[in-house]
Amino acid sequence: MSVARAASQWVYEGVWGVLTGLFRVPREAPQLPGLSGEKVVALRPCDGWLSYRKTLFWLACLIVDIALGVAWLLLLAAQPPLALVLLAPWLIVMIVPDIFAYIAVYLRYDSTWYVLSDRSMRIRRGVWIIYETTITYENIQNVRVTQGPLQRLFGFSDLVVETAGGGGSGKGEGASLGGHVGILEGVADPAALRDQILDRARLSRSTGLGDDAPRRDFPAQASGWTSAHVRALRTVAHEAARLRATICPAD
Amino acid sequence: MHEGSHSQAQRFDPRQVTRPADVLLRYYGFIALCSLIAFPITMLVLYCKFVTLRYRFDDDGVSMSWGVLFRREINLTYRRIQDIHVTRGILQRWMGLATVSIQTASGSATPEMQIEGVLEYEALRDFLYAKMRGSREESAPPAGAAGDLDGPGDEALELLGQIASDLRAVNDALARGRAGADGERGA
Repeated sequence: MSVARAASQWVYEGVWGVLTGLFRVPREAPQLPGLSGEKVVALRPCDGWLSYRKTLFWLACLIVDIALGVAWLLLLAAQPPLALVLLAPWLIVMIVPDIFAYIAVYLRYDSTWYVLSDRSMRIRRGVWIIYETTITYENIQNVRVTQGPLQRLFGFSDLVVETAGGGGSGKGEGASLGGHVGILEGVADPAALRDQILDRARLSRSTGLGDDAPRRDFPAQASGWTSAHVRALRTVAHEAARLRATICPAD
Repeated sequence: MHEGSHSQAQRFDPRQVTRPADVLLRYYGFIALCSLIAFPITMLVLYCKFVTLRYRFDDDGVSMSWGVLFRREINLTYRRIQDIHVTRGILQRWMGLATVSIQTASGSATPEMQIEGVLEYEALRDFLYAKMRGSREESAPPAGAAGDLDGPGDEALELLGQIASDLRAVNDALARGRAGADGERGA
């Protein structure tokens, strides 16, 4: 078993060698230029996501191969000599695409990167065409967390961040190419990431439409008032009202 | 590793970028070949685009223009950038090219501007990212102040108290003045 594992590992490394050498697929995480002292973390989808993709692969594999097997049995019943001649190519058609698909599952896992800093994120996905999306948290309009039943079983969620503007359907590669969305698949702890992003968006007092933020931006204004602040404000408002009533009683 | 990319970004001056690299024409040639029978038409269109393609990066924004018969020009400011996409197909990787797509908050799903043919696309992206809203501290609370949230909050409270007492003093003074004036008029 360990020999098989080592062999598959060797084959997989060979595939990556071809991909990086010949097809120039970068294997390392993308860079995100951060300020000094800024924490930049490079994440992958979680392990549960890999198991999930593998489960999907086995399900698809099972369905396709059962269909092909049944078709071959029907052929055997109808024209036995032809079916026997076709047995070898039939098996190749049944098995070879599965191997490629299985490798593709791992390639997809290994080529997906989420690089997060304190103020922005960069998402990379794709092997043949590499898509890289850079979004600052400031520009994010909403964060969606979606989880299907199978995904819940494997303990992860998909996190979709959207910036302003239309068009992004939020699904598929086309969206990550064109839409105003960033998709983070296979996030084990979506709540923490969601809070990190939303805290950042909450600190911003602009609408996230590219408008310049006001220069005087105190944390006190963003961090919320305590009841003491509100009491003081009430007094100020009351006194101001008195002042107005005193100076211009006509009003 | 950050040092490397940073110094590269410093060396790269986007203001120098006005034309796409020549290798883009070769890439367009391959793209046109993919359209098979329509090759002459596609090649002509792409060739015209390549010849007339102009970029202009200035302090506030970027504009690109192309076209012979139908001329197109796109202008946008860095601050309005919503997200930056870099797409590299296999041909582009072989030729050292990339498509840097810039999206603003307009309603279209397709990127507003697709910058092709810049060989220093990583540096260009870093440049755009640095100009983008929210990539630096300026639009966010300063790093020093973010740590001590209580400090400014208490200061605001103190200030409010001061304002309230000031207003109260003004009110009292006015009330006294009015009372005095009424008293004089009464006498």
